[in-house]
Amino acid sequence: MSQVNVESRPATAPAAVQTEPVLQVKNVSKIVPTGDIQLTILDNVSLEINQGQSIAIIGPSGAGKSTLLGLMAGLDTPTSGSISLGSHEITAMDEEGRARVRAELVGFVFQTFQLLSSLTALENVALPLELSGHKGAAAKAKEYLEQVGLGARLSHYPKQLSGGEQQRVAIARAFACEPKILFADEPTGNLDQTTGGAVSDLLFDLNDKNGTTLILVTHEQRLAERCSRIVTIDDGRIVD
Amino acid sequence: MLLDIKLLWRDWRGGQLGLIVWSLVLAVAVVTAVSLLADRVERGLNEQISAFLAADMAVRSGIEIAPLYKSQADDAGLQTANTATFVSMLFSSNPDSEANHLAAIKAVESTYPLRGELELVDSFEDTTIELSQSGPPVGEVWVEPRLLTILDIKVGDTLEVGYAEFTISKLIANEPDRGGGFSSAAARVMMNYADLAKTELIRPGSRVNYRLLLAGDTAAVDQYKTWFAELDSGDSQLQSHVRLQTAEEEEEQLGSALQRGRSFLLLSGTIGVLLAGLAMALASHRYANRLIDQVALMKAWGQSARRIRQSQFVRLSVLTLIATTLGLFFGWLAHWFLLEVAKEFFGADLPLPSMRPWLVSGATGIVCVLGFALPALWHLPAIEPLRVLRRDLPDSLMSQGMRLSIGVVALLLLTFWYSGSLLIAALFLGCLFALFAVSGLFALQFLRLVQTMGNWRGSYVRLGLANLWRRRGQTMVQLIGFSTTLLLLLVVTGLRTSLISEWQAQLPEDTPTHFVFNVADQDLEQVKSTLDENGVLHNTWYPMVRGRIVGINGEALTRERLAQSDGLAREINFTQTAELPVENVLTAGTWWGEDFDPAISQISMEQDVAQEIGVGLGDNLQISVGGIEFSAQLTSIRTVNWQSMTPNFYLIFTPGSLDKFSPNWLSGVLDPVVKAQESQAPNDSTTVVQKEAAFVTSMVKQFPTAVVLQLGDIIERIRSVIDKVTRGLEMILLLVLACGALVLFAAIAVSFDERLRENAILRTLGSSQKLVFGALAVEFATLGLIAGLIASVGAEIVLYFMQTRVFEMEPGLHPSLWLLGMGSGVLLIGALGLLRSRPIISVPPLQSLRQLN
Repeated sequence: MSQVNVESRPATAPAAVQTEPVLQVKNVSKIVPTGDIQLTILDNVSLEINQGQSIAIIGPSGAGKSTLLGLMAGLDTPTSGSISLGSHEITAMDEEGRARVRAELVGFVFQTFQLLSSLTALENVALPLELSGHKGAAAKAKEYLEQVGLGARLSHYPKQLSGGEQQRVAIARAFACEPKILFADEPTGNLDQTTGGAVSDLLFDLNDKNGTTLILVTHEQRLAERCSRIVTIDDGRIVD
Repeated sequence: MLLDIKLLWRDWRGGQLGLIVWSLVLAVAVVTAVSLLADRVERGLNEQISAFLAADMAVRSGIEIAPLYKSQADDAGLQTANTATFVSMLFSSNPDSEANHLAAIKAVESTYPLRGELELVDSFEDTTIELSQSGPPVGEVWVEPRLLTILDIKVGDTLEVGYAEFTISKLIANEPDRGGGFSSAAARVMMNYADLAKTELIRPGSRVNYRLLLAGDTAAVDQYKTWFAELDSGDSQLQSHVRLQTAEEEEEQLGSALQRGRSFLLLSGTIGVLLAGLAMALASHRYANRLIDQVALMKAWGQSARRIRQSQFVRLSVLTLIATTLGLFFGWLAHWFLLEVAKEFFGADLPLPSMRPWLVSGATGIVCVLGFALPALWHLPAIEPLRVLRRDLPDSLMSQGMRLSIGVVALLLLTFWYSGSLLIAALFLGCLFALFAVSGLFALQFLRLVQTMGNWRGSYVRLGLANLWRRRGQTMVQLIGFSTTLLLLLVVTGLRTSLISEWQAQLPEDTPTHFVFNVADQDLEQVKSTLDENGVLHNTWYPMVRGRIVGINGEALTRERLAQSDGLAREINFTQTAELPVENVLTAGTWWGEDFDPAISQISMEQDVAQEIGVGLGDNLQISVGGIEFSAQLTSIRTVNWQSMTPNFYLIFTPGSLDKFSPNWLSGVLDPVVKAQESQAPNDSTTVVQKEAAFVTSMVKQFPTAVVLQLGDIIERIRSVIDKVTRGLEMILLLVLACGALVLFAAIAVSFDERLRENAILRTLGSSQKLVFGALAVEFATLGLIAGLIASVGAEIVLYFMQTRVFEMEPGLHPSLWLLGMGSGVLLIGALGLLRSRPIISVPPLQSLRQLN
């Protein structure tokens, strides 16, 4: 069984807040059939993450980072093992149950931004709030867009925004729902270094401000180093 | 729910729903327009039926109705009224006018009408309608207003009918028994039955429709019906010439005819529904593809599959409701245009429609959504939330084959509902798909051909043609949709513009210009000399007698058996002649020569009629003329060229057989002056009207019972009917064509991203905007050209069959239709295609690429 190595970060990284674990991964494996062969993507992974921590999952392509992220977020089910989000053991739930937990606890930022092209920046941010029945969704969306510096771009459509601006909209959308845990899949993967830097500044600022638990998958060492913990995965196992 | 409507609005704003909505609007509009029209016409006719007899029932006959029928009615306590209708030539009493008109004269007893009322006005300007329950007094006539215009006379003037003079005292706005609702070409003149004899127009053999109208309480009516039925099964000679008309019977007959008419209209609308459905299916698939990310996101955010299905149900329902309502509205607008055409046939005021067409059209909208849009969206709620991270996951949308099957079932359901017959629905769809398959095969061959041509052409031609070939699946869908619609439009246009003129032009030089009939025996020689004096050529004169076949070899011919032949179900004209008429060819037996035995009557019968009633050479036929029966032996069977525009007869007798029935005479005559005018301007309808032959006036004034019909007028009337019907059809087909345009738009939309990317890359690599534009222009123009070509070939084949089978004329090609087909194909598809692809050309390449990322 892989051991989780909780490494102390340099002074620049925010200190880990020691509270109850908000996410527990126990002995999780993911095996998928490809033709006649059973492909092991994750092999007996265990991990515990406390509220308010920021964790970077790094590793080479195909190591199983995104798979682990998907499992932890309750978007997929493991072949074996258990995962608990907050007080819910999501591996014991059906899709409807997991959906309820996601709605309650989870937010996402994606590499490809995943903005809806027919919606303005404001509408994109407001949509998850509206779906969860939030009153005053538009006002809150506006507030978060202002926080990411896009107060003047509320009625712009994604295609009218640069990549960096689009990812800022996505970040505003993720934080506007005030999730307990934010999953970010290569959030700067599609951006140049400068823009990526600005976007990650924003991500960590908001994370600090909201006390969110941030779990991000990245290739970028610099981004990973800003997290309070780094988990390295290789060939489906946590190696560091 | 509000949020779902908000989401729907955002999808609409994003341009993802436009095609689905407009396809649905058009499909519903086409069906609404045709079903509203059919319903109103149907109701109009039904309403007229209920008063069509101006009585509860009527005894009807081609000869004067025997007193027995009236006395029986009197005994049963029924009210009665005799009427007689016939046509006669009328002249203007205005000395400044030379006008004449073949009017429909109706003589009625003063008790007429027994049911319903006559609507009368005092003058043209008068708008107050006076209702009358009795016909005109003796010495007066009431006329249809248009007769005044035609003859340039006014109320109070004298009108000569036959040998009698009458005062025009009132105008008829409407009469209860207007004969099935079809306004006849001949204007009505109504007179008192007692004046009939004075006109001297009714002579033995004259073509008159007699009716004895009957009305009373149900018991009396039933008693009369029973008595009549008993008489029917008996052996009365008189009975073979009379028929009892009842409202139920007429309704039944009309009902089935209307059902067929409605089915035909709706089935033609189905082609529009099919094309719109195709466009809707393509657009829905694209919409579903766009929704995949949205659904995956929503699920990642914790929305359940149930909630997503619910959201989609609300969105689709609202969309259906709005689009269907719009479709109903546009269909309602379109039906007014169709109604203008229908009014020519069914009179001005058709009753308001029932609920049925609205229901049919509304349900069409729902079935279209269920059959064409829903299958594409059905599996969306099952999209895995993990897709937000892994876009390579399968989209799990319904397979193309499955969606196609559901679409076909939806169409089958609709056509079954429209036609009321599964067989018709299956046959119709089968034929339509066969047509599609054939056009598809043609399209593929043409595509192969143009693809090879592209290799030696300039770069944008090559690019455009290569695009057609590369996306041949989509290309075929567009080609099939457009070529089928253009084909139908070309057939209808060809029918309207070319066929009648071509047929007219092919009539032999010696085709008569006029028919002269109803010439009394004693007038014949004088009529001939009048014609000679006026330089009018006339050749064979046929004596004519009306009668019917009542038995074969001594066995009474049942009404059922007679009904098998269109030619014999009613009284028909018999003639006698020594020589076989021209364009008649014997197929069995021998023609009587000079030395036939005058004591034995012989018959020569037209081949189709002989087959229909099942008689052969040697059979003895019992014939009844005016209630007098005689026998004749069938000695020859012949074919007749009905298109020859010369007098033709089903039954010809040996000379002398009909002498005792005082025949009147008929001939086709040729006025060289009129002939010269017609050949100068055969297609110009305005000159036809002015070509009044000089001999007509002098002859008919001299012989009031004679009737002269100008062939040009008859052809003009046929042309005008065809013109109106085809214009109505064209209007429906234009709506269908709009559905075809939607298929084009949908196909462009499906390939839009791909085109955007390709063209952005081309532009980035340095190709000019001109090249991209040129390639698109070539692509769409070629698509239009091929669609036009297939349509022209198809239309030519259909017209060939119409020429050879229906018009029985020499077939010929229609280059103008080819030009029209291909020209309109290139222009229409080229313009629409370029218009729709404008963003592909105009958006800067960098923006295109970013948009796609």
